[in-house]
Amino acid sequence: MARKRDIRLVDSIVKKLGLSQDQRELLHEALRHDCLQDATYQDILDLAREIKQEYPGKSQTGKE
Amino acid sequence: MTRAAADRVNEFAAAEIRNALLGKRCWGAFMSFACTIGMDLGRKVPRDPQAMAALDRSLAKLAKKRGRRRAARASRFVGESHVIVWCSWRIEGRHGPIASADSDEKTCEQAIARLTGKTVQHVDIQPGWNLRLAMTSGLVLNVFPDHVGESASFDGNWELWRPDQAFLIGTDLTCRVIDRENRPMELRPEQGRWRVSEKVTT
Repeated sequence: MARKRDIRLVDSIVKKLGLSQDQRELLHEALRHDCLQDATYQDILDLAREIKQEYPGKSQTGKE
Repeated sequence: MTRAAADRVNEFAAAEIRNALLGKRCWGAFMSFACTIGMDLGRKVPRDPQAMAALDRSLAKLAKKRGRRRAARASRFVGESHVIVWCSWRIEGRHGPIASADSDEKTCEQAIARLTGKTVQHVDIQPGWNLRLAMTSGLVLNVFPDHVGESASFDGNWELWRPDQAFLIGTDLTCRVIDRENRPMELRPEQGRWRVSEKVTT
């Protein structure tokens, strides 16, 4: 069940931060397995925050 | 929207997705978190410089936090057709199944990597947005949209990104079209093309 748990965690981060579709696409690219193995929940949360901050122009909701 | 109108939109979107994939060579297939798939097909398009810079800065900051000397590098190019699969999938070869989203990470990664260098020979989109890509060397990627309803583990099934728009298969098993600024697009039947919706959406 690791996949379901992991994808649910990333979904919760996307929703928590209110990432737009293109920010979510960037997060998917950033988390390429060959680049970023063993990323923790905190790593992914930090990365998503950075993406939102660094690429804010097209964000839709901005919940955090 | 009437059922007939919705069907027309879906048919039009499916036809565009088919055209965007058919005959295209996959030059980059990769696994991302939770065994999700990314595939770049067709012409190599430089990634939006703003997005690229944001990715580089974000990865550099993460590397610093993790005490790594070198930051991971994102690809500087993206395919003219970029597919993301969030939901369940299975890859088959000539002699049977190779891997699925249920396989262990190493098996998934190796199977996904095999898609690189293959060309899409046939695209089949079935009701419910099941996607089947038959590729050279007998490889077949089957995509099963199993993220449905509000309790779905992820808010999306699969997506096709193009330079000017994205087709997003959602948890209600409909196809939503947005432009690159995340604005919803709607079909103009009389023109046979998409344009940014005038409706205000949340």
